[in-house]
Amino acid sequence: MKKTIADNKKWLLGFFICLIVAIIFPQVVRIQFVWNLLSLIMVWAVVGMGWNVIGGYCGQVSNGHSLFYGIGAYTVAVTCKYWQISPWISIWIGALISACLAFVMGKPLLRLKGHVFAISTMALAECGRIIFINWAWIGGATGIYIFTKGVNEWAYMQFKNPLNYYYVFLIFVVAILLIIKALDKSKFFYYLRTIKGNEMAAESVGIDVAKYKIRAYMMSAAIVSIGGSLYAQFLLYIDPSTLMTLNISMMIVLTAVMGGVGTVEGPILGAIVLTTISEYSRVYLGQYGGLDLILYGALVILIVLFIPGGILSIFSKWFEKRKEVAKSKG
Amino acid sequence: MSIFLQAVYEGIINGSALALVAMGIALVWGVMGILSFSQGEFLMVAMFAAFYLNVYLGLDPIAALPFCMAIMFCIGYVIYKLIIARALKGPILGQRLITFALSMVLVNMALLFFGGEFRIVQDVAIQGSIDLGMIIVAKNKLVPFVISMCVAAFMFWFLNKTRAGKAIRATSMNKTAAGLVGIDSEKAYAMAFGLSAAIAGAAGCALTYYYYIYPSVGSNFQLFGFIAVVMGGFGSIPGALLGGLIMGLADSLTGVYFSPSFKYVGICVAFLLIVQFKPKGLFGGK
Amino acid sequence: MGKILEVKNATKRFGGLVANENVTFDVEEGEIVGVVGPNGAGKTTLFNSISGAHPLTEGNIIFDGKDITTMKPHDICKLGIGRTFQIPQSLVELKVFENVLIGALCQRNNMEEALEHVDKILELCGIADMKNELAGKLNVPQKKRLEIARAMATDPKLLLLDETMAGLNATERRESVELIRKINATGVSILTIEHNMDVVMNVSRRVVVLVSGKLLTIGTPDEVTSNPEVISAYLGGGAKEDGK
Repeated sequence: MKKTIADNKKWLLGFFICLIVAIIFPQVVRIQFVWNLLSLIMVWAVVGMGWNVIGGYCGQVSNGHSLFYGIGAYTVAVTCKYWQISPWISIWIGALISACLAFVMGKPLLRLKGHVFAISTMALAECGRIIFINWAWIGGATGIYIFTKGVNEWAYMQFKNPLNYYYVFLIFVVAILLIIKALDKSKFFYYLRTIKGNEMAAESVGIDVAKYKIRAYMMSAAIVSIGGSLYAQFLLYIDPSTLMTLNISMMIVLTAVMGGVGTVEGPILGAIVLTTISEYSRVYLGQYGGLDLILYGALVILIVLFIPGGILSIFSKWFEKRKEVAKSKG
Repeated sequence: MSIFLQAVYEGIINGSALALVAMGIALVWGVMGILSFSQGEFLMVAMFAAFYLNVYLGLDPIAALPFCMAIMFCIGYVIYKLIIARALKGPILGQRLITFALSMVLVNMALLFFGGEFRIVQDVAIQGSIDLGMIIVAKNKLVPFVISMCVAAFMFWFLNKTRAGKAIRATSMNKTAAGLVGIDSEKAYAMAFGLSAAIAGAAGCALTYYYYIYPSVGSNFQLFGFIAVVMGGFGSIPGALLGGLIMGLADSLTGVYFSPSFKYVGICVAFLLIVQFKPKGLFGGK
Repeated sequence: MGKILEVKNATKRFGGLVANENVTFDVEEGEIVGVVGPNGAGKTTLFNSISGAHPLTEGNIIFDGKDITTMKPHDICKLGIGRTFQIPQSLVELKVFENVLIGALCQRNNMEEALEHVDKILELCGIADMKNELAGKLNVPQKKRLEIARAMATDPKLLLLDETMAGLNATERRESVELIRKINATGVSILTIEHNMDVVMNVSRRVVVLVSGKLLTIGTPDEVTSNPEVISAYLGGGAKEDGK
């Protein structure tokens, strides 16, 4: 027990250092592009952490999380357009809708396994995309503007200065990170890991596999939906083909896998690396149609091939080595 | 009645290309357990190959077919050797993501080199249409269907009768046992991956007879290819063929009788229901 | 002494194949009962029926006065039946103590309480010194112990052990028998499948003999080994001496 407390202390120390760096960094580097990049990293960090709950901890690899991403984004957009509801409230409505949908769809979907589960989630997300494209009330294929003139920036989370987005998003990332850290060594997450490892063993120690899978799916959907809402506020204009494609679903998975599946901090690392690669390559290579995405894809292949455990595993390996060295010396 | 027959005809035509893509997916899934996201892109690459063979060498897509298949086989083989072989040592999720990243690279390479505009092969050898009274059969659409069925038949022959084909099948059933009887599983995997690309290549080449050619064309076949494979009892190659044809039929019939804009919703919902009640696919037995 | 488990006319069919037919026996509280029988006698099927992995075709299973015939495995575990698997199903990516922890969490919600319980169980099962190893790194005898530890952590009243000694050498078997006795001494009733006769005869108070899905006889080791039917069906001539 003492050891865990000591571990937690170390983690918190690291966390605060990173947090301070995260707060000060944009004050030092005063470049608009970097501020935008940081905001996007925060969005992807939220989404990656969300997917990680069902895909990483529970091992049910969904390839259709763009559905919840889209629901989150559309909920803030539509409620703002028609009823002038502030995103500070509608973010939670979106999360609730996503969780409810996950609850309803979870029962049939989560019975499936492996590739079939993945394909089914893709099919479900595709249904969502087509419905949204053909739904005129929410803007159809042309999408929907969130930007409203003359509203209070803070009340409606519509900032002119990207730095404000960054700090607001950072609060969400920190909150979700702390929740996941708190759950990391909890009964809930241990049960999810057990289900990932061996469903038969899980049942034999009294775990209601279906129930816990659905809970994880709901939590995952809700967090991804929050990420979608934040992204919508950042863009202030959304349409189905930027939010709800298979590519988005796959990039959500990538974010978690790059960093380290089933780890607390992995998705944030993944978001930092992937978003930085994609944004910089877009700016510098984007004009040569497609070259940026060739580079992105190639880097993804290389990272997945050569660091299959995710970027976090490099750090933890290095850390363990140091520990061993310290042990042998002491 | 004539609308129905016309829809059935169009469905089978479109389904035949899908069936080939699905067969490629099923082959890779069955042999090495990877859900390959790059199969649709192999089809796209082959379409461009057929297009440029037509433009620069004046080859009709029918004549270009063997070249397209050979090119795609080589591309698939090389991709296996360079990337997939290494990925197979890693986690399953990583394998899937690698094929996805690969598809991203292929689409954007096509965009970079060929540009994003829609192209079509001009003056194909077989044109015109036959009026059968009830339906009008466009001859140029018949070509991809005939080619697809020939390639499918060739595949069955290859997998069941030839040494290399048998080695692939044996490896997919039991890698260790196949190794014990002297089959080089590494070689069989590479063959299977190359073959799956070649099949997609055949489909792509044949499709240029009437389909537009553009970099992201493969995505039209990707998800439905997956669905066809699952419906056919995943990993089963004849199942994938049937699954593809059924998907094509469902596609055109729902388009005519249900709603053109929501037809994919209908198909996806039908798929989700089928998976619930027949988790081993339509032809997967109990 | 009350009955902890009653199996009444248990029949299990898989399609046309009859795996268990009309099996009736019981386990008394605090008892160790062995289940023996040749390969394919339906021992593991019987275990799976009791633990809820698949439903019985006919018959009933009563545990601690409650009918558990149609219950799900996780509910049955919560009621107090722990089980191990013939092939250890350790969670290889988790540490040894975490493997036991997920068992301990079955009856506990408080992490600290659960962790304390884990330490006790690890001590009992003799794998405390491997606490922080990854379960994937254990060897077979250690994995078998871990399997028992995880089941024990769920606080069972009845423990179903499926061939916990297969693949062990003589010394390891002796240690394992000792462990079973220790567990039994804490008040847990045990139903154990064992292929190896001498172990069963040594440790069980009563033995159930299954042959091709049917109950041949039930009785004390002495009764069973002197039963001519058993000798001809399963044990063969020399088995009695082996058993002693």
